[in-house]
Amino acid sequence: MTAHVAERGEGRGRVVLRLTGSYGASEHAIRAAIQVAKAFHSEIESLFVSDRQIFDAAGYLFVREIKTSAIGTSITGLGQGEVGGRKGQADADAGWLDVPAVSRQIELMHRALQRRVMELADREDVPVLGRRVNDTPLGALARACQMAGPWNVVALGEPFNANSLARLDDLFERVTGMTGVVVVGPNAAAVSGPVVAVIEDAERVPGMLRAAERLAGAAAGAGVILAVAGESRSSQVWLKHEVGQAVNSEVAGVVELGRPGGGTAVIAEALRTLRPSFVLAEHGGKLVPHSGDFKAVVTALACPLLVVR
Amino acid sequence: MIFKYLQRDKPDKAAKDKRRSGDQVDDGASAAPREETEGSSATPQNSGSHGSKDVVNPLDAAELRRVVDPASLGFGSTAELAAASGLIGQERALEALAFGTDMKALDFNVFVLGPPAAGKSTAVRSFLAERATALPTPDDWVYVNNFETPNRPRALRLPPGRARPFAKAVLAALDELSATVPAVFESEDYQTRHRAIDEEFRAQADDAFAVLSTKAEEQNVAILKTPTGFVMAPMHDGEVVKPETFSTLPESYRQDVAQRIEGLQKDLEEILARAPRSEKARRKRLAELNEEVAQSAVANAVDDVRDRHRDLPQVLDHLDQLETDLVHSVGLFLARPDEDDVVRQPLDTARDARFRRYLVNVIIGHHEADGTAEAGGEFAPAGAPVYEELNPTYPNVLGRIEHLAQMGALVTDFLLVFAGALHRANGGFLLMDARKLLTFPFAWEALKRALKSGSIRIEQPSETHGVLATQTLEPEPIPLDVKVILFGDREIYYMLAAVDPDFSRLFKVQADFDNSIERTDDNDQAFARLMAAIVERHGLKAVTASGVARLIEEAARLADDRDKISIEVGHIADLLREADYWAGRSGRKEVEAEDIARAVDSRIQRADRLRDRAQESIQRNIVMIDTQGAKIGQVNGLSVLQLGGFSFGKPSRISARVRFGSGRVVDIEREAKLGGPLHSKGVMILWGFLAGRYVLDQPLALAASLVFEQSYGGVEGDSASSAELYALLSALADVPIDQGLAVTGSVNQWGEVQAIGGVNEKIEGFFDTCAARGLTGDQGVLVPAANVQHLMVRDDVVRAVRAGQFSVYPVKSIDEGIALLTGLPAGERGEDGLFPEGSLNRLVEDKLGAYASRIKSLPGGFGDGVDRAGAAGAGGGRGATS
Repeated sequence: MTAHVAERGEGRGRVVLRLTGSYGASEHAIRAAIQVAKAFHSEIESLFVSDRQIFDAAGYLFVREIKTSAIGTSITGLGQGEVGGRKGQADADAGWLDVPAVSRQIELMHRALQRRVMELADREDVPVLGRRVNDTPLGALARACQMAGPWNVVALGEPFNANSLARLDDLFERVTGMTGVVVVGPNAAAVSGPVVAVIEDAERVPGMLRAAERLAGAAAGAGVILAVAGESRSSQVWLKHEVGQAVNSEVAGVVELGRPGGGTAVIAEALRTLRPSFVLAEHGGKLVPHSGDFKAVVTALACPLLVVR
Repeated sequence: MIFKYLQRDKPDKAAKDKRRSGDQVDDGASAAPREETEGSSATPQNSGSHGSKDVVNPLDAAELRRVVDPASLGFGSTAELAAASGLIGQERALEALAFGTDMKALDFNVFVLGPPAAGKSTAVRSFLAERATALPTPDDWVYVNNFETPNRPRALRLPPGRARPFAKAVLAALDELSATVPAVFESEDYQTRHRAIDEEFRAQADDAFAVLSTKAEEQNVAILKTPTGFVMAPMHDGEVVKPETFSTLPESYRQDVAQRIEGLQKDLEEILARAPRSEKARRKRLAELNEEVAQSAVANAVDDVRDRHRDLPQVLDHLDQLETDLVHSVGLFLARPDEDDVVRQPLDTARDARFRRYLVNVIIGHHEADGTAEAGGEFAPAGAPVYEELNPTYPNVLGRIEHLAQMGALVTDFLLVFAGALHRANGGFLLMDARKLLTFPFAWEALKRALKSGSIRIEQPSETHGVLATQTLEPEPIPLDVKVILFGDREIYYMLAAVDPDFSRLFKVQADFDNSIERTDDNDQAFARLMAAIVERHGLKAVTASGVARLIEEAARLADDRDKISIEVGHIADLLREADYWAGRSGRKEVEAEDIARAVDSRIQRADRLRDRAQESIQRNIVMIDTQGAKIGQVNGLSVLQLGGFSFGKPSRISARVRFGSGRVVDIEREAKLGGPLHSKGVMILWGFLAGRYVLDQPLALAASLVFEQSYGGVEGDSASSAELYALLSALADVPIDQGLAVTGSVNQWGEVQAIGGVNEKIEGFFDTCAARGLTGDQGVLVPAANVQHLMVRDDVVRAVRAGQFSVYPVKSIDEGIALLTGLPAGERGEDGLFPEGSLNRLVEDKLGAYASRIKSLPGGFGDGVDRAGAAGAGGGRGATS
């Protein structure tokens, strides 16, 4: 599968930026989504999901909310526990879920995030379609992509962790109209480096290179590096040779990514030393396998990661 | 306005000749002023040997102006002379200055007294500059941040020339850190250690949460994130079961699910409860890592500065504190500019507000390389500073703390502390004008406070007076070692000495600059060298000997004394510069005597509009002044008007009327409140003269009034007292006074004529009046003989005297004067106790005797119609005359 997003007006897809009222959104994730949309001359659907399951959970008498005053960040600056009304305050003290307060909180989050997305996208001349849905986070994405067309890239607003990377399988499985997903980690920072495409299959070189060049073009001044990762030394050498043959060396540099057969941690560490501003990798490959330990990836990457199908 | 007066009288040339030969001249006695025809006004009644005593000869033309012979100067022009290095003839003042500057004490400051534009400042600066070079260059001073108490900046003393290098070294260290710290913190070593710590703590939380998630999933419990926390709910096929569906399930199952969820919730609470502690521990570990990494980088940078200041413990102490703070605040060097910036600029530690607290504020710094000291932008030679504060406001003297507006508030820090004159002059000499210092609010008190405390403590004036409550800086005081030289006129000195006890304690040395010096050959030469210095300083044309001679004459005129030379350098320099201009206009390469004369004339012309108006009023008889004929009880007095820098003389008519009365002389000026105290004093002396000379054994039964005719302004001074006495005597004797003469001079109770001021202007004033009507040859001025030494009249007056068209009579006594004015001998009391028959004194005494006899004949002494209220003396019975 090639990483691709339909151009705006094409009516066959877009960048779907999923935001939730629970996690807020990483500024870097929003910027990454905008960069992808800009690179592919596409548009953004800013999909704010109000998780209906929360309100379902409120219907259980034995369920109570466990406050996380020390966990979670928000770019909106909303204070934690800003709940409205006397009843809401009493419920919060008791630990039971205060539905009106949560609704209010989610609504405020929605407004703040949409405004911020609009501001950032305006600067890059990227159109934004704002939408709010009451759904499950995954279900909302699936339906949004289905409606938009087959060529969508999903961007997740909340920072990923080892667990969320592990759930990419679900995402790729259930969201069928998605060619890739953009995620940012907890160590995300503004990095000005090359766009690195992790090449594990020679056949995917043209598509990955094209996507990488587009992303690099959207970030003025960024170069492109094709980082090959083989199963063994010989396969890595062969892969590098193949890639070298396929591309113009003036356009992109070709490097070997760590010790052959070194696994996710080795590849992630090798990637970090390249100080990339964007990483492209295929789902199910060595960097983002279907299952495994993603802690190394979470720790190493300070830039967005575009995982393509 | 100041009036000073004189007089004389003269009926005709023949009578004048007679008077001079001692013959008596008859007069027409009359109590009222009246016109006298020439020839009839003076009636000889007595030949008297006594008359010869009153003969006064007019002065020769040569006595009216002391002329300098250019040939006697011994040079061709000032180009041949060595310029005078300082003032001339001010040895006393300079000795006082030397004493004051040599005294090593804060209370032996110097007050330089003297007239304005006397060149005091130039001379003192020149004097001090020489002394200052021999003194050591004072230490440098800087203000640095006080890391413990930021609102009390520390003052550091450094040897001269080391403050600026110190400031630069600190800045260089910061620059170095701005490059090395990011590099260190981006190094693989640091990143690896940082990640290890992050990973250690994140893994703890993530692992716990992952375990909980797995456990919940296994139990079909969903963990949902809310905006403010987590909730759990029964789950089926990855989605929360709706409550209405759940309620259809068996009770036992529902209770089981509820129990499981409760257990999971407690697990989650425990995980979350550990999170803050974990985060705190993580931050602590990271801070320790940061400090450890930063320590080496910071120490490395600061050590460079430290190595250069090993000999300065105070500086080393500050560097220790700076290093500690830098290590704690190393994050400053890692902060990135706004990500939206298109072009990312490198850190500018000199301008970046975050680094202000590490910078060094050089309050006083001396330049090592070129041996000069910088003081507020001015560069002075190495040695002790000689700093003149021309605008001695409080902040300019003491230093100031400025504020910046930030977010609607005024903020400040130690870098906004600025030096004042005391800082700049510290270790040397501070020169200020006393009048300006006293004019500016708080400045004088601040200076005294600094001198008394021996330190410079910069405070806002509002703080000092407890007005401002806002927190501001309290910079550490800097020790003060300065010699203050104040300039002022004598009035200010004596006023300060009288009203401010601190003044005498703090300014124990007075350097009194004289206005003039003796006119000697040596001083003429010194004056010429002074002219050479002015020529050199202002880049003027050289002055020829004739020009210098003319300048000396002008200086004598300026001194109001032909035996002295004014050394008011400012005035003379102005005159010389104007002469230089006229010489240039005339195409001359050197300044000649005529250029000086033209400069003098031009200056007068520019300023004499009022003089012209005054003379015009006289010529048009608007102001009545007689310059011919004779009148009883009327005399021409002379006054001087000082308007700005120009003064001129003009005549005024003084008249007297007498009658039988109680011994009272009414000063109409005083009665009308137009006379000053000195003038009133002069009039009172007249009564003393009359009482002491005439009818000694009888009451003085006289009522007289004196007035300045057509005087509408104030009259002050006693220089008209002789003129008033002449008018009074004329009225008593019924003898007319020659109106071709004018009079000036004060008189005492014995009839001696005393010196007055402005004699030259007075002579010239009457001369101008007479010359405008045509000089007759009989006109002239009576001046006190004591004033002859002051005569430096204009050239045209000298020429007229030389041609016999005008006369100046030196008069020593009233007797001499009255003889000149009336043509009658005054007469001396003979052995019989009487004045000679026909003498003026006899006429006066007879009149007074007649008044006394009349009073005796009245029943009870003073009778009706006689003013007795004023019997005690002149002016004693105001307004009681019937």
